[in-house]
Amino acid sequence: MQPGAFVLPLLIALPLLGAILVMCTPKTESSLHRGVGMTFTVITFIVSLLVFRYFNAKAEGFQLVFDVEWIPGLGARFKTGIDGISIFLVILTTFLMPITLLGTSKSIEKHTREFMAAMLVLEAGMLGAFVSLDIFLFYTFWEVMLIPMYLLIGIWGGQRRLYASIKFVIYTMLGSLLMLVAIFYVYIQHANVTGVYTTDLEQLLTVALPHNAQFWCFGAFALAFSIKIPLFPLHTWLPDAHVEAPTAGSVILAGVMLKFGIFGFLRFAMPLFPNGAAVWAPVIAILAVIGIIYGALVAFAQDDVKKIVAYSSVSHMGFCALGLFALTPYGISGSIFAMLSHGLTTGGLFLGIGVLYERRHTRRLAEYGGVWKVMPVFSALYLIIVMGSAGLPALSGFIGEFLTIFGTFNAGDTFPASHPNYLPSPRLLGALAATGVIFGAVYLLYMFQKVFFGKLDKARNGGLKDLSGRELATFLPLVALIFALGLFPRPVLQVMEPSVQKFIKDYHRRVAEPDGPSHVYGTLPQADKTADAMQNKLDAAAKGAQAVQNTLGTPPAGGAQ
Amino acid sequence: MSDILFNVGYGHFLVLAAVLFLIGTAGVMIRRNALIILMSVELMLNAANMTLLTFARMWGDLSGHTFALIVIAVAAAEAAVGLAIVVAVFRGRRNVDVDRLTTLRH
Amino acid sequence: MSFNPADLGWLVPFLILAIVGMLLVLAEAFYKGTDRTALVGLTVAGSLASAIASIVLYRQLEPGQQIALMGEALIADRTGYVLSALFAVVTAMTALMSPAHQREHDWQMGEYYGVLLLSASGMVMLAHAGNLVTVFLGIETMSIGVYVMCAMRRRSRRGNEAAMKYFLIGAFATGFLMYGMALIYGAAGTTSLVKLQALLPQTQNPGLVVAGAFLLVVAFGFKVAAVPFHMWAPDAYEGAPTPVTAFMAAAVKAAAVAAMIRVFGIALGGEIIPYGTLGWASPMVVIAAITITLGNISAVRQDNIKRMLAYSSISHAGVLLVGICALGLGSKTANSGLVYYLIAYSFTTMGAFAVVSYVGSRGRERLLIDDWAGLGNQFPGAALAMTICLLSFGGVPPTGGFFGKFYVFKAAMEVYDGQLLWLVAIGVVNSAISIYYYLRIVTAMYFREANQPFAPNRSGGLLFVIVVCPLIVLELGLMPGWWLRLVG
Repeated sequence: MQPGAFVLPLLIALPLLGAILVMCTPKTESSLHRGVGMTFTVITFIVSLLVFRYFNAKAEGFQLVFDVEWIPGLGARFKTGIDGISIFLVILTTFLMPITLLGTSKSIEKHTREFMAAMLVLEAGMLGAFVSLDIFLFYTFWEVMLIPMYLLIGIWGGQRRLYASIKFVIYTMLGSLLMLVAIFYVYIQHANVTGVYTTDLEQLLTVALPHNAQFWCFGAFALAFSIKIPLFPLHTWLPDAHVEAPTAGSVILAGVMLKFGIFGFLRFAMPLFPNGAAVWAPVIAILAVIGIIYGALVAFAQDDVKKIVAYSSVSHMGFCALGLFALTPYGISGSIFAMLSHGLTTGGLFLGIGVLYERRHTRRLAEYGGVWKVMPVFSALYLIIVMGSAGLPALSGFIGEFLTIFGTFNAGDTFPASHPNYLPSPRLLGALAATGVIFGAVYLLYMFQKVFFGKLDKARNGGLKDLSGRELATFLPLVALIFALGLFPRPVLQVMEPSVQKFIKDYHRRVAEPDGPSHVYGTLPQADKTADAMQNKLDAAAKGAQAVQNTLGTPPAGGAQ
Repeated sequence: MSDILFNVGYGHFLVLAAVLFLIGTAGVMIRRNALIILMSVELMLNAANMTLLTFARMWGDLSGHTFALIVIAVAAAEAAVGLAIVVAVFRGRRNVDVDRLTTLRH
Repeated sequence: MSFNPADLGWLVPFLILAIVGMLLVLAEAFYKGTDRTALVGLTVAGSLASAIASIVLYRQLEPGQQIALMGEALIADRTGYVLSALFAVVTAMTALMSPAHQREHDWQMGEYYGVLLLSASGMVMLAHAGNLVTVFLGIETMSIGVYVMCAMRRRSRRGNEAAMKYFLIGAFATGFLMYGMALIYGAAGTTSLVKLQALLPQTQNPGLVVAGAFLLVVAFGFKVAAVPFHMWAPDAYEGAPTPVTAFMAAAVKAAAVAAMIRVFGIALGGEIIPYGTLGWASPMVVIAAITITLGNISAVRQDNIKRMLAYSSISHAGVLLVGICALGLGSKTANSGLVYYLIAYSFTTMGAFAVVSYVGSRGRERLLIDDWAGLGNQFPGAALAMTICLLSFGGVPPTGGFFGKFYVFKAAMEVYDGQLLWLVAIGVVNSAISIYYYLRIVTAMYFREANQPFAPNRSGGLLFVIVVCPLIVLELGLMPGWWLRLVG
């Protein structure tokens, strides 16, 4: 066990413990429920800061690794660990949770106990998925996240919550189940090659699969993760889910859960199937650019504030996907940075909508106008969040978007046209994405102007109260962090760098592996093409013979003594 | 010709059993009266018995005979329960046509 | 077959069930009044004693050790004892569920408990079957008992109709089973499964084996309700009293699969397969794929919960057939995977039907999904139990249902060089479809308001089942290793 290994399991256990505790409290004590929820999320946040104490920012690879046997028969392990990529996502999660609970504590009136339990289980699931180093453990946490979110939308949601919740689950489920088939395939192939059944990610990574299989497996993983991101044609669940979800659900959904798409690619899909990634990368990059522009344009046409922010997520997450598949150090760092920024700004945007909705019970743009006059503090803070989201320099959004676009422009240098991962004209993609930034500024400012500026002509807006102390306490940390990330991005980028470099180095090493039947990396003889092909055939024949031998030679269970 | 007709061997019994089995199967699928279906099932079981006995003689092995006796006993028990159910259904609706058993939705 | 009194020691679980069952039938003859509490107590005690005997005997055996009893009529091994303990526990749970339902729906009959135990004794025989004769006897002992239990609600038109359909189809299946067994016997001249395994590959008449195996596939297809032999299941499940439905869905199906583990795993497994490309496995693979898909698609359209669960149990039968194919084709992990799946599936089924039985009260059985609206508000415990069971049915981690499917599909991937991947993909995609209709119930329970207050069918035994089953299902999902090692 490495020093500090206890931190990550503790991070998963704390919210679960809180969920159990809160379920043990009496049903009607809603302030007690809120108290327990707040306490446990705050403790989790403080414990998560311990990670920095043990984390060595200069080292590459996984740290704080905790590893015990979980299901021996299957070779599944309870293995957790973090690297420079996941560390900030973990902190983002633990940070957003108490903020969300604080910001929405008044808006949930019925079933507060179950609400708190759902949120805490959700947090445990998300943290677990971020730190899992066992693909099976990851899948389990991935599914565990789904149920509380489904309940959050379904129980505490709006008018069309039934439809939205079912749609959310079915979309996610369909994707993740195909991923499960691919996990199966990798798992069995690894066992065939090494003779060891294991779902330990680092073990699975030692085996190279045939390129054809990588294509399909990456496709299956990509479906699951693209739905989560969400990538352009698979995004239709997102606006429904966001509009119907309660504010807390929207914040967590946009702030953290969407990140699992990108994170899944980074942690699992691309390392496991590098050649599959190489083939799919252009497709996904193009879809990401379409998503950036499409999301921005559709957001512009919405009347519902929540829908605007939901479509802005489609657009912003497109940047993350684009940066990732540019496969340059800048692109990937930018992608991760953009995720952090998006988590903060979109979380803030949804919380702000929650503030307005609690006061006016409508989300229609046309119902607002001139709010600045009655809520100056809120308006000023919201303006900073909106600017952060739109990518104004000195705020967090700018760094991420700039780096992803810069990384995409540079993709042409690192990936010449002869490379299997040749992106379709990186400069064109970068330029199109840059127009997305402009569109983003347009619709966000349009929304801000419609709500906060103009005449205070709606009578019911006249009596709006400005932020209470509690609400101020939710927005100030967010705004402070948006500033901090925008002004001082270097510390964050430096912590990421070793992991990002290692990711790219490993990717290039793996993608250069010649095609062949499943084998351990580097064991295939590097002979000329024909000899290689010959060897492949021989291997395949030997394997077939082995299979026949297995079927014929092994007596099935039975045989009395 | 006469050889096939009069020189009765194992094959004859097996073919007869197969024909009985087919008649039984067809009876279950075509007839709609529960009692006739029950009788057809008995025909199928007896076809199986005949096959068992034939093979038992072929192999000179007693276990086939035992098996056939057990089947006869079990078939009797099954028929008893079956008839009781048919009677119960008949009491309720005055017929035992399986096509008219439509209280449960399809 | 020869009788050796020393073997009786290994048969204690079976003997307890059979003897207590007969005692109970006798006791009913001398019983006065309508209170049957004592009978329930005896039933539960008998089946638990049988379960404990199974566990004790299980511990006497080494992993993989097999002892032939009564001249190979029965086999004592770990798989057999795990399954017979499972059947005994499910029987006890059925007995615990029954009094409340009998009281609420007026069918107090003491013979029921005797027949229940006798039927369970047939299941235990199946779990240990080592001979075609014992397979046949076990199936019939089990089935005849269940026909009777199905028809127990004599005054109910639906109950009678269900019993009649179940009986006629069951008897029809018996015909196929017997003829198939007779043909297999003809090919090798023995009914011992172990001897068949050795002799069938050298048979002079491979045609008999192919035909016999095919007939057995059909017969077991009827018994486990695989498409296209499934049409009886929704009607029988809907019409039978709910505890009996639970027993049919959990134990009867598991016992049929136990018999398949013996017949297809031992007698027809391994070397006999190469007749044709996959032998009997080729029709079974197709049947499995169709069963999983059609069962799920039909379940989507159901509004009646019992029918929906019936179709869902049909699709689960498809998954079990995948496991049987893997076992026959020589997968080393299929046996433990199947046993794990049966354990998870049985407890999930018992839990789900226990909640169905709990929710329905006199005059209002509340079998439509709409009737369940608002259960989450009024009875959160029952709704939570149902949700856990439904998630387990749908194969969502961390429940037993997820790992069950995982192990079975893993076993399928191990054989034939992974060429059954398409089957696994069908199975997995179907899980997503199934989530849709399971969530319809969850949605109704939690997200909608009740139109009238629930008057649930309270009883200690029923509540016990409702509490215990979801806990076991969760335990199975969180710590699957222990369960998997039971027979591994």
